[in-house]
Amino acid sequence: MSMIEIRNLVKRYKDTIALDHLNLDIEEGEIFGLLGPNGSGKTTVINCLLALLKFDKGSIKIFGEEIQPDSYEIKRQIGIVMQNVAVFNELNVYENVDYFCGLYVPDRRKRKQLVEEAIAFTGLEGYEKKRPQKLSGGLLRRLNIACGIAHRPRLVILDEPTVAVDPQSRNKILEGICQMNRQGSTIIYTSHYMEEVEQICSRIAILDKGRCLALGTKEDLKHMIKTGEKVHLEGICLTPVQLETIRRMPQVYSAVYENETLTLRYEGSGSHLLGLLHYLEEEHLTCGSCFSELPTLNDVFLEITGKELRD
Amino acid sequence: MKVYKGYLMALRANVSTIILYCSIFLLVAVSMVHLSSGEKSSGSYSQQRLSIGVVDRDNSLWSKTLVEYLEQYHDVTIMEDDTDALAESVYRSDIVYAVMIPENFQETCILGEETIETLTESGSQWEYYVNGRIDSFVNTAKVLLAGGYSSEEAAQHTLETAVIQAQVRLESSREDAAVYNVFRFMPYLYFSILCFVLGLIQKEYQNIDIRRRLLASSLTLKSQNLQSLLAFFTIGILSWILCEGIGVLTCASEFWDNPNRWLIFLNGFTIMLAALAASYFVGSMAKTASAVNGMANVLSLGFCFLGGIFVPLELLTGVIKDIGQFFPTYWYAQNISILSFNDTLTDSLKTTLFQGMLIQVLFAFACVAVALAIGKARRQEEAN
Repeated sequence: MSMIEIRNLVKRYKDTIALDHLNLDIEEGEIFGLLGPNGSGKTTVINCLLALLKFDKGSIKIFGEEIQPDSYEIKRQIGIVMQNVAVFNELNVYENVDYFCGLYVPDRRKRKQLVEEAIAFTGLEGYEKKRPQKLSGGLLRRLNIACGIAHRPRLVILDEPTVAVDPQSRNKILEGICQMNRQGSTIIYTSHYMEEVEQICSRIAILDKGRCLALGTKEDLKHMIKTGEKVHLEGICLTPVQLETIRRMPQVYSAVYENETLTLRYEGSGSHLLGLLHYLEEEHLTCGSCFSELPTLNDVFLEITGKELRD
Repeated sequence: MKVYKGYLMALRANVSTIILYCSIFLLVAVSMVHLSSGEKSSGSYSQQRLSIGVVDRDNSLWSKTLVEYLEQYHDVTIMEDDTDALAESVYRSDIVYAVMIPENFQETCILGEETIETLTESGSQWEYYVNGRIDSFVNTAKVLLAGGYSSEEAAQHTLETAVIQAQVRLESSREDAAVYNVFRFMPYLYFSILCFVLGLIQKEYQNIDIRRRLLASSLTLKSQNLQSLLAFFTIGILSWILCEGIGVLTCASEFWDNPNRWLIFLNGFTIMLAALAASYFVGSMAKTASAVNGMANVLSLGFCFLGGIFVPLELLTGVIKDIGQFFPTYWYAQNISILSFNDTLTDSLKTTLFQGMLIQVLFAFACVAVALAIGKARRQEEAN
């Protein structure tokens, strides 16, 4: 049985359909990525998961039970890191983490230990007495995470936790998420940064206009699309016959030759660079430079939706 | 009790603001007590005697009666008939008023329409004061003579009217200007502290992301609301103890001598409830700290200026007084005036007093109701 089962979820905001018959299964122990552009429905899914929003149709089961606004036992096992930093400006770092942990853990001694661990985990040692206004954007994001995970939840939901964060803090956050997962937490991670999702998520769902367009591991997703590897050869002189031969090579999807530059696009997965270089050697052809690009999630998104992920 | 403790922890972060407001209040209160200590005689009245010079050109029964009549009120000096010397005496302030009684005084001025010639500083208060006395004398004499009295009888009766004096008695026997002057400013302290500090804390709790985080937690909504309510009352009662305590410390002996001291506390409690409700309104409406600051200033200053706190109710004019009645501060000011200056409270005063307290509590309910209604509408808008 899946940890989370979402069936035919429909949510409308007046005339706009935010979620359109969405179906998702999230297994225990995975880092599940929800990928999609702004307005694709990622945050709405999360709000529905936490029963913060009433949905129009469908059902959501977490840990095998239907989620309701008063499902406090389920909520006890969930940690949420909001898209916007949700902390009290009047409290310092330690007090903020202690406050939000205290909503789940009443025992003071146990909480003290958990708060200290969360602060250490997010690298906020030395900032305990500082107020949020005194923290940089990256530290503030880390505090936001510490507040959401301090009570050691079984399921952690992170809604775009790295927006407007410097690369150093971003890496720290991503490492932390993987570590949490290794310690046993199931993670739901939403982002419109495909590199992050590709880097940490074990399975990914691509959302657009409230619908799940594709679901699977990153390899699965890349296999789903027609376009595969992209190879560029610069400073190469080809005869029409040689170009035609290359075009007829297995899995070549398109070949464009302009200004002594050859751009090849292959179908399916795998790398074809070695086969091409072998042909060039046989024909005694040389080139100035050569590089290969494997398909990214952006290519997947582009092919599925017809638009760039960051549109 | 984490939500409850959260409010108190956030309150601790604003202690400096509370100290600042209290210090300002303490400074003002001490000054007011100092000023009011010199106002003890303001409640009693004494008749003012002026130096008057009289030139008697008639030397008749009526002219002598007028001189005698004026002597009952003022210090009268019979002067030589020299206009220049009279003018100089007025100029040197030897006398403030000169009366020239003309010849044939009875025929010309009492029975006739001529006026008595006088010399004084034009527009001065004694001009009106002495003129009034002379007019009163002439009118009384006129009435008595027209009524058939002989000149002798009329003159005698006119003199007797001067003996009838109004007996002025103050309704209040208290002179607690210190209690009044300290406690009447209390609403400003309540509204400033609560609207600014609690408004800021409540604004944080109303932040959509924090609200969602709280709703997503395992703490029941009912428990969260109860804890918030409890925290509000705790902070309200703490501020009540603090403010009333400062007030009592500032004028301790006068306050404990006042038989209405417990009602003064109760009146303070009702205005605290109104301020508490206003702070909830501010915290629920404002989205930024600057907005809280602005709203808190507008409410505290507006209520205090229009509600008779900074400007005594007696000085408020028609429209402003009518507007002021919509504010709890108006009823607080009215109550504190009753409680400061009355030893015993009549039934009518008690009715006014409790009516005022009830209006303050009703204001608090109205404020919370409006904030809840707007908050609900806003949340529905967010959900859609």
